[in-house]
Amino acid sequence: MTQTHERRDSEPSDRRRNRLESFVSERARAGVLVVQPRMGFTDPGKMRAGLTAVFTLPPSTVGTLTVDSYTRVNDHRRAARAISRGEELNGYPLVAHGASTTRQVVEGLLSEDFPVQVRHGSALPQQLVKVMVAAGLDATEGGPVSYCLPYSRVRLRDSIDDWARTCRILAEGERGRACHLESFGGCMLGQLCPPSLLVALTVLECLFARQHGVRSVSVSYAQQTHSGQDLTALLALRELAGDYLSDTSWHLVLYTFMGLFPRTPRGARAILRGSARLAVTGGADRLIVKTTAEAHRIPSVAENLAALRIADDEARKHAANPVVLAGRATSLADIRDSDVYRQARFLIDLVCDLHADVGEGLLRAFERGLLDVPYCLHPDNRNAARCAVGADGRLRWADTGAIPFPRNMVDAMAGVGERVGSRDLLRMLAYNQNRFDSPRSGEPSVSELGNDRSRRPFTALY
Amino acid sequence: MFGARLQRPRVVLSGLPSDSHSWNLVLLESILTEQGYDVVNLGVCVPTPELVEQTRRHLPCGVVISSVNGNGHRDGVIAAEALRRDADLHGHRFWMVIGGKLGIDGNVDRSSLTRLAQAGFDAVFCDADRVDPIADFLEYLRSASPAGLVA
Repeated sequence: MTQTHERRDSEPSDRRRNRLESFVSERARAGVLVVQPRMGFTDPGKMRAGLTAVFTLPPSTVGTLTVDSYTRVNDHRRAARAISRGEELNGYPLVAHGASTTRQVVEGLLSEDFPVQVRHGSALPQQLVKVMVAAGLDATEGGPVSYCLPYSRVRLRDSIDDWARTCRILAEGERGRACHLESFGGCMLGQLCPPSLLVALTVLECLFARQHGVRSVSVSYAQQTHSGQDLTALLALRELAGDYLSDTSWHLVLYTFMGLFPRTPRGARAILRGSARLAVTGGADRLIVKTTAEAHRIPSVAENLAALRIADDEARKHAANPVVLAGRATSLADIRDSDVYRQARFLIDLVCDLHADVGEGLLRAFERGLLDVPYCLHPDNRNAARCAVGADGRLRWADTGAIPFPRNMVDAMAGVGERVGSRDLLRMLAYNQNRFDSPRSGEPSVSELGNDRSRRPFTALY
Repeated sequence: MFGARLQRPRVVLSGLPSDSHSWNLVLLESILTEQGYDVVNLGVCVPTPELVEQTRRHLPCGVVISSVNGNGHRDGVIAAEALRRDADLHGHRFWMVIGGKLGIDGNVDRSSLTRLAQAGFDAVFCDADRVDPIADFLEYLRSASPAGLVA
């Protein structure tokens, strides 16, 4: 288990430490993986009840306030209308409810023993973060690239500007307490993105945050299609964070697979347990879980609690296994020679060399197609790069677009510009779903449960 | 005409204003392209005025709305009404469909389906009342396509 990396302390002594940072740091020292759900309810009472349930669990948990999608796009009037009509939104409308109500939601729960993080997905989060800080909350996530390109229509330049101001609000802190920003760069679209690009983007977003004064950050990575490849990516990310963020307090977050999720409860639990093991072996400090409901609906509190328990249980079992540390040591020896490390480092340096200002460097890189997220529809993303799932389940570059990798850095198969039809695309999107849902002897399949939906090719879409 | 390029029929494909999901749009674009359409993919979080503006600009044979964040039953009505009521589009015939996960619980009730139809959708493809919505959508496309123009 990695140590949470401390900055060389140049902060005034009366500045209070960030709750999330301090909590994760202590658990890391004890060798315990912190687990966290995604959770957001419209009604403040329901939101509080959910947080309380997570708080009460024995595992080391962090609470989450997930914001709804109207709030995400700053349509607070729509959110307020829904509240007044008693409608259930797909998250907690933090701005519409306001700081005072939100403060009451977390009153008595929020502490250094139970940090609460606001998760929102917004490309223009300034207003949201102001309300968050006024409510006494000190941790959030996102980033100018990770919440702009995959999930919004906002121009990258505008997102960068807004996030720069947002970071300065976070840097000022909440009543003398440092605020924490987790980069969502390790996820992007959640699937079909080469690991090296994810690693580069999350480090770059933390460099951006650091430039604008944030001193407590976390880098992220989302579980993909091959655990060996994921392990290498996690270890490479740790090395790079150590290289580039040495004067910042940082820790490592893993997300359970964020793409098309297994439909069966057994499949969902299996991929979740796999992510817990990956977190332990890869030295992640915190794991954001997925539940058995993921493919079907927004999870209930009970479904979230079950997922947290499963992840914690698996992590503890795995951490007690002496083979784990040996496995990690073997992988670490060659990590700086790995493709993912070399490619990611190349991309980070490429952007940093474009301009002294990280935001400007990112903007120019995307403008020129030097950074290019496969399949991302945003107008500021080139969308020439392509990624495929190989026969062995590893992700690989199928087309590097205009990304100027040196010849020896990427597998020879890349750059060929292979055409991927809709059936192949769906197969790759559904790769983990099929892998984890496929029936094994003696265990009920989805069809045996009376629902044949998994057999039809396009039902994976929803 | 021998040697002349057949023009592919054009569709506008779009997400709804609060929906940031995009794999549904990526996959639908791929499917529609294979079916012989020229796809104008507006992407995610498309404000209603933008949808109307692009539809005016491209004058497609059809508009495909895909939504998976659960707000579709509400936001789809607004989009459909805006398109059907637009003065600049009155002279242009086009079909309009919506599909995906249109309600929060993964379901959408009868009254929502009625409202969507009344708002101007020619068909709704979600699992409330269909066994295989995408297959149904492909079937619809085959019947809705202008004859002789699909590659």
